[in-house]
Amino acid sequence: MKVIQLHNNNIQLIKKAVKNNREAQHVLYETHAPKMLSICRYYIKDLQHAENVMLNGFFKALTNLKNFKNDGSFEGWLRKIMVREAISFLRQQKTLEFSVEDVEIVHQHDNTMESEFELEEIQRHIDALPEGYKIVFVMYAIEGYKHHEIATLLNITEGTSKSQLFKAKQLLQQKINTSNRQHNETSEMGR
Amino acid sequence: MKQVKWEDNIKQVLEKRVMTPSDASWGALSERLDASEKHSIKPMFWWIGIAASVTTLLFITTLFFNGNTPDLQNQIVVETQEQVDEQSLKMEQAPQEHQLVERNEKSDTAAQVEKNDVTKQPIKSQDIITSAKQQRTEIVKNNQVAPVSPMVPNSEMETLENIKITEIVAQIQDLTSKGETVTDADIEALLVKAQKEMNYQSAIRESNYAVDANALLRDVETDLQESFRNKIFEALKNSYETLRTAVAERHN
Repeated sequence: MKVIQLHNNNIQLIKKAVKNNREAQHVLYETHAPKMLSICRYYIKDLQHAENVMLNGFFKALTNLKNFKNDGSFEGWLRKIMVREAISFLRQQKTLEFSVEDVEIVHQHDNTMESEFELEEIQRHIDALPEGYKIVFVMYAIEGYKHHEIATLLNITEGTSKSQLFKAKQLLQQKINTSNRQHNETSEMGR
Repeated sequence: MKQVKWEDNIKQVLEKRVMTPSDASWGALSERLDASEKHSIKPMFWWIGIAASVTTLLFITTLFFNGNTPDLQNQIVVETQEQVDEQSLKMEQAPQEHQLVERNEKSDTAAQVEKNDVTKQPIKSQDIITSAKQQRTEIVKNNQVAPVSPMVPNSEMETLENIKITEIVAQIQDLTSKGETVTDADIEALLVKAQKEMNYQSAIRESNYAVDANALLRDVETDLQESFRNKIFEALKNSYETLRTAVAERHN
């Protein structure tokens, strides 16, 4: 019952926001901005730039709110806008490149990894990936996009998307393992 | 136990994260939204202005074209008025012809005493009627505006005629009794005088009509030519016979 009531409240809020009710728009912003900023941070290393991209996304969402159809969740609709804005920002920065050259990867015989990761460490490792690898990895592994959707949004082939993902996983795995090994050695030395 | 993919663990960790935006972020967004709303109103005013201009132009064009057709309207009015005049003229011709027929019938009944005259009269009256009709049509065609003859009821007209006939006959008898000779000129003068008085009387009774004197005289002449003259002659003849009989009896 609470879920239904929350859903109805959300619909009423959106209806008001469509009519340019500033208070309703503010409530929507306050509700969804923290999550949207985090999503933008997946793609953009600099926090200030990530916030600007998030604001651009909210501006587009609030000015085109009449196009939102109540067949899906509002957060899912907002999330797609944020991803497109982030990609557009990276294209403008001219940092979005899908390198075909192989990055030196030390093949790991053991593909298992420790299950617990620290948040900031993970984000740091993702930030260290090349732009092409990072975007495809985030879109596939975190956002849940399919390869053909990634190919359409990034204007690449599905093959490129798959290869970029494979390399991103390998590199990320390597970095995490290296990081964990160093962490374990440090902790042993501390004893 | 299945190994959980390490990327799923990464996803779970990242999905739990939330990041608080800066305090000034909403202010900046609100200003952009305000500017956007003002910008969207301006095009609306442009469209409204264009629509108003087009509407005004159409209105002026409509007034201009409607105002340029007074001649046509006037022509239509004139034509209908002429049609009405022609129709009224035809209606007037019909009762006058009817009067001619009625008078001829009466003259026929009066002339049954003299069979020869009776046989001759109808033929003459027929010719007179046709000639009268022809003359009337000629007169109508020549005139641009049809004259409006006074419309007096037939019964009143006949009564007036009878009175005038009686008067003329009385005057002739008076002259005859005095021993004066009555010439055709005298009779003609009496007839003209009587007709003038009859027209004057009928004109007084009809106050709304404008009488065309010339047209009226022409009508009078055509009417007077035979039918009225025939009546006078018959009346004179009857009175003359009466007188002759009276004189003959006196001598006896």
